[in-house]
Amino acid sequence: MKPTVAVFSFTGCEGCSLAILECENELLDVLNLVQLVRWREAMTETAQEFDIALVDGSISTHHDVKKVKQIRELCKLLVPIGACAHNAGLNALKNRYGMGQVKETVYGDAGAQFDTIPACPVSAVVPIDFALPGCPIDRGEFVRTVRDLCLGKTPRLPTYPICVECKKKENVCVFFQGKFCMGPVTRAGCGAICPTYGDGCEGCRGFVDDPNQNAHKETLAEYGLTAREVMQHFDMFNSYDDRLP
Amino acid sequence: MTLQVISVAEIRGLLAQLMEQGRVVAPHKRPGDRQWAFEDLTDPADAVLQYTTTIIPAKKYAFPPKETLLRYELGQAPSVTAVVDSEPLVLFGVHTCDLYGLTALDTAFADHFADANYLEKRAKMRIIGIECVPDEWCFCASMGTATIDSGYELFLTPLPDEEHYIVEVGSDAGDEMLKGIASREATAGEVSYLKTHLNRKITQERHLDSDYTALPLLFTGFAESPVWEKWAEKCYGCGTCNLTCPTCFCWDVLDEMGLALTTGERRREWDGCMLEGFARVATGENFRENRTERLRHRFFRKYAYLFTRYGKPYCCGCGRCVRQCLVKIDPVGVINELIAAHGKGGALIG
Repeated sequence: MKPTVAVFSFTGCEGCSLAILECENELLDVLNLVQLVRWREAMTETAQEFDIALVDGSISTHHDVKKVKQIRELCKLLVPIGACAHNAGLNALKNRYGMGQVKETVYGDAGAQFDTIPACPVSAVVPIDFALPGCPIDRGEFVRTVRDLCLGKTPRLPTYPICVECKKKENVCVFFQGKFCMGPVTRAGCGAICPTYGDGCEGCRGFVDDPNQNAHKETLAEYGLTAREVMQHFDMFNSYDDRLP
Repeated sequence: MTLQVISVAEIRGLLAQLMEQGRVVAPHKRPGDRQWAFEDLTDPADAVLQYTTTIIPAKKYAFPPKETLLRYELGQAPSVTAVVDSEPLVLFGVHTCDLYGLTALDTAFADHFADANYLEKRAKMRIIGIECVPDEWCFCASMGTATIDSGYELFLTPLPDEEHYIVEVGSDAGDEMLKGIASREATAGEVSYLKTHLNRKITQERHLDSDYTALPLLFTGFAESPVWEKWAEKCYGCGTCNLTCPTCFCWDVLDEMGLALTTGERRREWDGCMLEGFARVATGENFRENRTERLRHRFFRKYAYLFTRYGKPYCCGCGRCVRQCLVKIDPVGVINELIAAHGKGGALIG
């Protein structure tokens, strides 16, 4: 009996759900391992029972909170996928403003009718079993994760930073090309995709377990960023702070 | 054999001749300030003759970043097949430090269990060495690797006009390579230039404040030094120093099952002792949890542990570790600071 899988989306662009559909060469093999029973982006069925729930998007409304708690009760394994679900990603940038101000900025006078709370990762609301980082998720990492979950293995995430993947590819360090990069403190696993194509890493996969943030702030400043710009680099994908309300 | 002199045009001709016979790799320019990499040569004109170091040393051709060790098949009749991929290869443009690096790896990979994956690739390599362009991070003279008299087929040293190179032949295969290539005997003046040049190289400014042969003993006095912590404060633990090092050879092994769950492969990938997960074992215990312990371990491994085990240092003085390091953790700086703080007597006066 194949494990059943449901995919849910909360606050985000839903691009990580789409990334699953983009695993074109592996999708049929994945469907041999699991049975999809609910996924609004790809099917009309809405099963109420499933073994594995994949969740993209941040939790940012009272409705989200209620729904993700229900999902947690219905599934055996809950796996947030993508930066928004993993560490609140870009969404957490709104948390530094008052929610009233946020609503007014986006919706003007009509804002009052919307329900919004500070954005948080799925793990801040319910216990999770594993999380896939990235904006969007890495397709290879997704497929391997599904396989490992089916085998009963703990999926592997690199504990080392992006620099390792750059070196294995022999990329010229983007700092040496006059650009800026969050790679030295960011968890690898994407194959250093941005530096490989000449851009600095934005840190979408979150920090490594033991990031030397002070060293990196000094490096960014030494290569010419102002203190404000340094913080912008740090905050873009990693501003979620569970000490804030 | 007497020393020969050949022109740059003849070197390009030699490369063209070798390319007809098989795969040739050579340094290529990469974007950014003074960045080069060994790549497959498709046009003899692309080979860079004068450069400092490549980002990754030539070891990547004998010990690739990712390598399949075996493939397995499950089912009624499970099977396992060892995989050794190797092919004849000419490595052009290898510096003395990197030649030493390869000999250090040869020793390590032949020790205990001879590593077929490495050794077969190495056996099919022919190497043309070339004299380097030192920069502010090199310290080969301190490690005894400024000159080397084996490990190559040919070795090229530019004459002052930079249009001609002195050729030293290091093997029969080297003699074979030179067949059909126009060369002339080096003049007495050119031979004497070579000696002057090498003397200049071994007296380069940047040096350790100790003879390298004393390092293992010296290090016995450094174990508890506060110097480690000071340098580790700015260390990322990103492993760049490990991965770019010509003498680092640690790897991780993992099994990758195919999606059909019927076949899979076991492969190894470069690992590094500066990485946080390197010393974590199955129970979750990590023997070197913090960056200070890892930095100290790396230095001990380079200059003491492997030196003692194999009778030679596992550092070739190429300076890649600091050149590629964003925070410039510099072996010469670290070791000289240790010597300044604790003296040259090591444990004897410690």
